[in-house]
Amino acid sequence: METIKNYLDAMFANLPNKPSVIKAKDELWQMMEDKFNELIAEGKTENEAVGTVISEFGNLSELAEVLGLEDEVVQDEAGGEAETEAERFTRDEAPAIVIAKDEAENLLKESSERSTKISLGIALCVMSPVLGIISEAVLNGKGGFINFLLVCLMIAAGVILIVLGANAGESWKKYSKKKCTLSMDATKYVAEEKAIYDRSHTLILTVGILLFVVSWIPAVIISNVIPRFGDLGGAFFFICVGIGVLLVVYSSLRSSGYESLLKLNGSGTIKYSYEPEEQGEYKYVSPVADFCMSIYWPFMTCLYLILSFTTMYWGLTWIIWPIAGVLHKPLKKALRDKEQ
Amino acid sequence: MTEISSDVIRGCNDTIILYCLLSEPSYGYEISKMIKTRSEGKYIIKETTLYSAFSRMEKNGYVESYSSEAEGTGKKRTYYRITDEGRRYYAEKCEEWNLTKEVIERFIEENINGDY
Repeated sequence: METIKNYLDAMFANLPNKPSVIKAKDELWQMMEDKFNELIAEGKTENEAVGTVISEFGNLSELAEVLGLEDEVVQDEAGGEAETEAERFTRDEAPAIVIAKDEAENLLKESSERSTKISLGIALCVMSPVLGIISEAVLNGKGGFINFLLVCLMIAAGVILIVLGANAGESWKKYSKKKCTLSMDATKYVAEEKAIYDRSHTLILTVGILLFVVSWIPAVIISNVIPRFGDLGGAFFFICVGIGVLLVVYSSLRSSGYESLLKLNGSGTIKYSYEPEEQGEYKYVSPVADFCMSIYWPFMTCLYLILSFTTMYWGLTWIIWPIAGVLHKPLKKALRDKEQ
Repeated sequence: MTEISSDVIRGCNDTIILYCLLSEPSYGYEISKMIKTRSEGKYIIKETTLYSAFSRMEKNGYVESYSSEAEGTGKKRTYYRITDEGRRYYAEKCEEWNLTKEVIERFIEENINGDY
């Protein structure tokens, strides 16, 4: 049964993701499943049943008319012969490079390494004042140059990590320049991994944002409870913000890693929007809306940091988070593609 | 063994499918099974052929589809029901076939060596 499902998935993988196509696929699946079950009930082996079902399936180009693909007749470059879109998609042309499952695994690993390096680098830059503040406190304000040096060291380490991260991913670079597509197996694998990651994505993001909100609390407590170490409060503050940045940037980069892999399949195809479970993922009205929603949280983080650092009203700027949180859901609903 | 050519039978698929729906509504696999049994296994309709015929005829108003749970299994299936328009179309197609058959038969020669 799995073989038949894979066969059908592969047949439809590159067709546009629209209601008429989905309906045809569902109904063909019903028929194939019924036929398979009956053949098994008649005592055929699984292999025989799969063979019969697939050999009696027919040809997708027969569906071009009813799927509404015949309008999109394209000229074959070589012969100038008219060819429907369905034929073009189902034709056994050598498509660009096909990425197999193990290669996709490798690409995902690369993406996760890249996310770690870049987010850690940015966090180090944000946290750069920490060591300076500590040495200032330990040396009783006599460490002028040493403090400065420590801050510079942290920034340097951060920048090196960011550069390393941005340049990491040799294999990804190799693919992003060419026209490639994921194999059906690889698509399934990436979509499944994405679904697993999506669950922790929200959690990591929430914890990161929460850290921004509470970042000023340790500083206030320390300066009130142990005024002698009041200066150290600042260090705690930067640590909180730094870890917050780390979490938000990391989770956003990781999740965009899955997304860009799936995008290789060409958006608008069934393969691109392949979903391992039926959880009705959001489709936005336009690519612009899609982009805006994907940078929503990183954008808020930037806004928060810029506002906070320029105004230094840390006790006030955290208001951004509850507001952003309240706005997110209605915005998501408003931009949702109603047709899906 | 001679097999039915899909080119020749294409124009008759609608007739065949509508015949299967005359007595009661049915769904994809059941119809394909009926065709196979009734033709004694001489014509096995392809799934894609069946589906494209369904959606074309639904568009033309010859059949209506509705979703229903199959008895016992609880599996959701798309059922098709013939409309009055569909019955008229079926009668027309039958007449058309009788004419076609009559004409074609005049050109069918059993003994092609011509030695009679």
